[in-house]
Amino acid sequence: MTSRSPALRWARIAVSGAAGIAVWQVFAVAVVRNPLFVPTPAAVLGAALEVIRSGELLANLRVSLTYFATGSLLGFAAGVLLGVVLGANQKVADYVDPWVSAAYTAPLVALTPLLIIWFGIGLWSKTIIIALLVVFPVAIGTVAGIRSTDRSLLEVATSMGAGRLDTLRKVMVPWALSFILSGARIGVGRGVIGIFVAELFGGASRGVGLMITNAASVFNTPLLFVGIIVLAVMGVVVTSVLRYLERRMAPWRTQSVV
Amino acid sequence: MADAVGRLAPSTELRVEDLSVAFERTGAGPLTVLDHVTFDVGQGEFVAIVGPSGCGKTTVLRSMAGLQMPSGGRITIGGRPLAGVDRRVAMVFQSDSLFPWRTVAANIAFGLEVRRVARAQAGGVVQELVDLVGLGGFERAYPHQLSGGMRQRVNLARALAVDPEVLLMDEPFSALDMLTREMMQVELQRIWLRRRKTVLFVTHQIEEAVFLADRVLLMSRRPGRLRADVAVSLPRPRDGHGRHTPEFHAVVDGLAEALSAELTGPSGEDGPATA
Repeated sequence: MTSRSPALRWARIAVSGAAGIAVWQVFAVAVVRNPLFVPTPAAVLGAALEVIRSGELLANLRVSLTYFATGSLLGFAAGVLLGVVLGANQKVADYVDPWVSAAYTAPLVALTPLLIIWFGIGLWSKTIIIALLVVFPVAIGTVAGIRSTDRSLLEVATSMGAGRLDTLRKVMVPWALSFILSGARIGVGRGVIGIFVAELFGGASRGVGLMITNAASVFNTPLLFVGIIVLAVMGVVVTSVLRYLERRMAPWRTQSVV
Repeated sequence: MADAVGRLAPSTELRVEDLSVAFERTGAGPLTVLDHVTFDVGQGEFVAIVGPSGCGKTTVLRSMAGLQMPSGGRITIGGRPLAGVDRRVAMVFQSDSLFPWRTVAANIAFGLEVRRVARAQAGGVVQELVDLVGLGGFERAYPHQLSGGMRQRVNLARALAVDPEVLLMDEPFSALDMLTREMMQVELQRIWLRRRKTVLFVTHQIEEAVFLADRVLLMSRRPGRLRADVAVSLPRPRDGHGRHTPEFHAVVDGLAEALSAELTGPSGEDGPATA
């Protein structure tokens, strides 16, 4: 078996997970020795089983996932559109690029209270904050992809008589696909943080973020950990799916672009 | 008007008259890459251009494909001028210019799609070309799954698919190993004998030029001018054995001598090529 074989890779991931939990256990029991500060893995597992059995976790997850999915999709679509326009049009890009960079770096989550004033405490304000967090990394990835299109491929298209739209659709966007999906991976990571912040300010009645906030306010540390782990797993799952898509749709790239 | 070296063939298909190209440079005057290049190519003729690297031989092709704006001169096909991108020409690029996300068949179909050829008709053309270039069974393979030689077959088929009057080939076999390159030369000749396109083939390899072409044009160091126009009258189809005949070597040696004289002789206006 080579070091790249999938079986070995999974074995290493399992070892890493087990080691992490062991360190956590030692840290909680021998170092901190206060379940209020750091609960043991067993306590967290117990809390998880409890909220799963009561249906509380599923109900919260369903709400969070709903606007996380719609917000991500909305942000992704808008990001690709914005990126294509900016990538294909240098003049427009000169005007818009600084704003995109600013919006990408700015802590947009801070806008959440404002968005709630504008759009109310319902799903819309939360969907929009997720979309805002996703749109800019996707746009930046798309622009980078389109601008990096191989020159010789562009020349093939030009010499065949392809117009601007055909060149964009048939050459630049397919070329940029890996970059777009890389942007989406970064966006999803930000979106997961958005779930928590949106529900912190959002006056939500349900949601994983709210579950975390409520657990924290009553010092239910194990449940707080359950919420964080659930969000992390969500992020890992979506990121893995995007990585898989990237490999499937751009098999000629031997490695990920970001 | 015409460069003394360039011959005017009787059934002229492609005519290049006084073609000049200059690149703009920042901090220096324009760099003259082609200097009043004149030659004719007859209909169905296979003409190779050889010359030292940086002599502008690729620029000749790029000017025809609409990828480089000439600073002077005229190019006509069948008497009608060529300006910008023209449907009457198609270019076979150097390696790795295939669309990696498209299958072999979809790569070949690219030009037809762009030119809005009906899908059913395009499908027939693509299949015909897949067979012509010997890629039957690989229609659905992706470029990264193909060898270098196979990729250049696809490249050739993609250019032939749009049925150009003039086929431009820019060092298409330069990235291949020697055995594959020689096999591809035989293959190209076979395909050309079937399709009889007017071909302008750029290479830095004299043997390749002599093996393939009816005529070999030799270009000078930059700024590129035409130095020699040598007819190759070896019988066709030429095969591997043809490379070992005294006639073949006589032509190759003559050209090699002219080329080395070009490389060691007094330089052009820009001094030795630095590129």
